[in-house]
Amino acid sequence: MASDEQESSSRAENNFAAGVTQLNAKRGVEKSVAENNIGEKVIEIITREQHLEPGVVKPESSFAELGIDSLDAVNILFALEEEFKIDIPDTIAQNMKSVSQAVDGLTRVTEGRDISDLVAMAKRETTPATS
Amino acid sequence: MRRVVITGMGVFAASGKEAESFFASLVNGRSGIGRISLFDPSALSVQIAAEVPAYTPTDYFPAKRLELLDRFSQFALIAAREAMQASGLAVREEERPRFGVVVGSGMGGAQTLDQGYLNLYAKGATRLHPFTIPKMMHNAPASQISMEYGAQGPSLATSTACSSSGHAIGEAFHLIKFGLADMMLAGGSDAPITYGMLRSWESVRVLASGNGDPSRACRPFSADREGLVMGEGAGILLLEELEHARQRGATIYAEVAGYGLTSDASHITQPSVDGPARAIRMALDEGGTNPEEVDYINAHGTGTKLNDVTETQVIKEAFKEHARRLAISSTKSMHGHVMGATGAVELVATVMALQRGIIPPTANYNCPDPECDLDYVPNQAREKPLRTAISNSFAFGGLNAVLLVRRF
Repeated sequence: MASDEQESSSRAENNFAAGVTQLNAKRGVEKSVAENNIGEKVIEIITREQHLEPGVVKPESSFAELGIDSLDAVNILFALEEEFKIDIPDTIAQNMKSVSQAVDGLTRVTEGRDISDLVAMAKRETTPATS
Repeated sequence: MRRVVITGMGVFAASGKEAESFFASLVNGRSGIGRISLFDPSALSVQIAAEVPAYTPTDYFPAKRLELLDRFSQFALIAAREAMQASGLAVREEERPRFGVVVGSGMGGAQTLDQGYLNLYAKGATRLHPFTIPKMMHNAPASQISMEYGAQGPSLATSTACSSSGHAIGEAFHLIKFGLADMMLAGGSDAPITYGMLRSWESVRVLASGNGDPSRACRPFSADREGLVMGEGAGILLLEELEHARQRGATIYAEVAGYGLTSDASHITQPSVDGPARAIRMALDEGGTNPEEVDYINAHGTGTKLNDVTETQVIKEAFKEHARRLAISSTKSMHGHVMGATGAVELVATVMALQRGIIPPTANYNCPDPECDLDYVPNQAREKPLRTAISNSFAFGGLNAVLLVRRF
């Protein structure tokens, strides 16, 4: 059923996100420092790509407030991927709709570089216990 | 019967960045062909092209807009801007669904494609810019123009190689004539001067190299012709239903009276005589025009050995004895072969010739070829009152488009 699939896929995403957070904690990353640097970069990149005046993009800005539509968003994602030399999977990209979500998503990806264990974890969670 | 007229024109090409200077350049026999400057052509056997001179994109568009516009879309928008400004047309909100766009291109977003391939295959990139697709798609100019002017009517992009814009204008003409629209922006654009494109064309062995004298390289109908010269640019015309134009007091440039389109069904690069001749007859029939009424033909006239002799036979086939009385010229001799834009660029030249009674010459006509024995208005423009003219486009793959225009 469609709704069952949606439920299990959002469960998978939550598990995935939880897994990344656990991995972060395990690796003892100084979360706030890392996030600050990423935060500055995100603001710089959005300002540049959207041709905005300095100071317009704030840590609490949403993409909608900044007039960023879906095409602008994929452009910003591309710029972030080039800058941080990472791939942002669609599952994370879909949730990046504000500056803080972008910082959050990037943090998860940059600090959980080896994420194969998380993907496997997410898959295990979605496999039905019985067939 | 609904009649269709031209109420605005724009052109952006090697011979001129707007209609007046473009036509003046042609009439003065000036060549827009020179050494390629868009990239270093030293490795190529052919190092010349008809580039738009001194073009700075930010003179025409804000930087943010440019991120979504390949060079060929930029050219199309600039030409559309000129056509709309010249026409004085202000489209009312409720009229938008009666206003469409047909803009063709042979090569699409060649620069964007070239850059993408370079990144992917030479630089090992694992991702391409997300704007690659919206920039390179063949319909980008048509879509961008429709967005710019709020044209919500029937719109499409044609791609028939060298006939792309001939077909675009013809289809737009029919859309108005058959009642689906009242206003149409129509024409074509191409910006194919990239390393990849030149290498592709080089191997076909139909390009003239110019032997160090680019302005004299393109010699349509001349016995010493050596091939075509690639060009870039755009031509966009505003077509309008006659009563609609009259009611708003529009200036009418000319009437579009007929459109012929046929297929050779013969060879993928070599033209036939029958296909193009039937396209001419078809355009004349639609316009209720006798062959003897045609005063001027703006030829396809690429300057290749094969096109020019075949086209001469086509004209004789379609016009019989009258072929010897009418005037023919190839303006490609000066603005180059603008590929998907060439039909539109040449129609602008043809309409201006009709309006002013001046036929632009075939430049670089050095020596007569016994197989091309008609009047090609060699080297000097000719003053002559004109009533009716046709513009020929005969593409690779045998897809022909002929447009018949009349003084209004």
